[in-house]
Amino acid sequence: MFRTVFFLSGTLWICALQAGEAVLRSDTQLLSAPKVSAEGVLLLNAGMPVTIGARQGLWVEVIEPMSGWVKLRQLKRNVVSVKSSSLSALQSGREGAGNAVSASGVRGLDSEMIKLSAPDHRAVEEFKTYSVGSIDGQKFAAGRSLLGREIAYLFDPESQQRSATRKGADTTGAVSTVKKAKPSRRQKVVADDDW
Amino acid sequence: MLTMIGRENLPILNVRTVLVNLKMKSIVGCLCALLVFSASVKSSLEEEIRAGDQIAALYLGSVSLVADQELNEYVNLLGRHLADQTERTELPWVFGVLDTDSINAFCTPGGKVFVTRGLYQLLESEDELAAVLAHEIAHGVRQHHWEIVRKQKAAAQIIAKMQSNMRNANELFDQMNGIFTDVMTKGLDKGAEFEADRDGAVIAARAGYDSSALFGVLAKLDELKASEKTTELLFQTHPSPGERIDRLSIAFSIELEAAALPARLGTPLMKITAP
Repeated sequence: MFRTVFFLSGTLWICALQAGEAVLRSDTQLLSAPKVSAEGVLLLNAGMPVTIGARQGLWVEVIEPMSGWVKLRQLKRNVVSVKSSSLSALQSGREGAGNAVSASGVRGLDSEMIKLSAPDHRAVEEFKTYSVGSIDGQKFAAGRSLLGREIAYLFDPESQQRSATRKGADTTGAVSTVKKAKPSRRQKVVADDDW
Repeated sequence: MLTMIGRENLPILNVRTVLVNLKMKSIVGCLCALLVFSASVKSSLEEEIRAGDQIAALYLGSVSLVADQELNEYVNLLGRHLADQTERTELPWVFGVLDTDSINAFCTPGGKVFVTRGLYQLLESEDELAAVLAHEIAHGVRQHHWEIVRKQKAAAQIIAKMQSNMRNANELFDQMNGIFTDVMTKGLDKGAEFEADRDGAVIAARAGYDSSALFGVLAKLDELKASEKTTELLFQTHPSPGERIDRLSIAFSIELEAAALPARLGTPLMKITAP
């Protein structure tokens, strides 16, 4: 009897795992809104499978077992599923992904094509004429009111080492990792301040 | 320098003169060393750019750029703005959209970046395009591909020297082509891809774009089948999108999280109008 119950529980768990689209990395509080200050709805245990919905920045909506929000970093993709549709909703929460390309009549670029291709140096010289200078890049950014930020490179979580700014002795140029913030322009307003 | 004095006819060193001479020699020595170093660095940069030209020539020998001048100009303006957030602004960065349905993006040594039409059409915002370009720029900044080319080139030259019956020029050229196509078709190790994801998110955020946009791109890639003709090279050369999302999400710093924007504030993407 016990074995039967245990087997069925395990089967249900596996089914749930296969049906769920991500699992929790650790014990996580499910929040009512995508902000740190939101009210807790439910405590989700580590390893629990969840069905996820839309993404807002670094927050992900949980649909099952209960509606709420968790941080993206608290989820681990369900690697059991062969074709996962679980992450589709992480795209943007907006309407569809755009044009999926059919394999028929495809103009593909694959290994064989690359290996058999003859280099086209004339095309490279034409290609290079598209290059623009920093002034043009700055004007482009100004036209979009893009606000520059000072942000340091990230640590590698595996090694806990921050990426070196430059590798090798045969490099030139500045080694500063952080760019100075550009003069502020119209700043995009973020309604939720607890990303 | 030597002064003959007195009845002993013994030379006495003029200490001040000796010191001045030594000082001059060391200054000249330092200047020479600096010139040699600068020359070697410059020649290494030139080598890197030349290798990038070769690889770009192979890509453009396979497929051409999308015949949309406005599109390619747009991608270059965006790309230049992103590249200016890095430590390698001196590279001759240039960006282009390859006219293929394959879904992928590439960076050659020396700052030539390509994104395919197939990938471009999957993207929903300029923030997502910035995320893709920033990832490739990160490869160029970290010299991921150049390191592989450089090491394999050194090995090839050693082999050429050892095999004295080789017609060095032609066979070395063939070997170099083989090295380039290897780099293009086999990809980098996972660590380099994860590093480019991390750095790319930072570069895009520095430029004022949504730091979380790459997650949207990776989620789209995760929906694709690896067995499709359009994705074959992508999955051959990159870790799975799911793994990349996992690794990137736990690496995010608080300040990078603060640079995440809601989707509704993302910048619209220029559409491809060329057939």
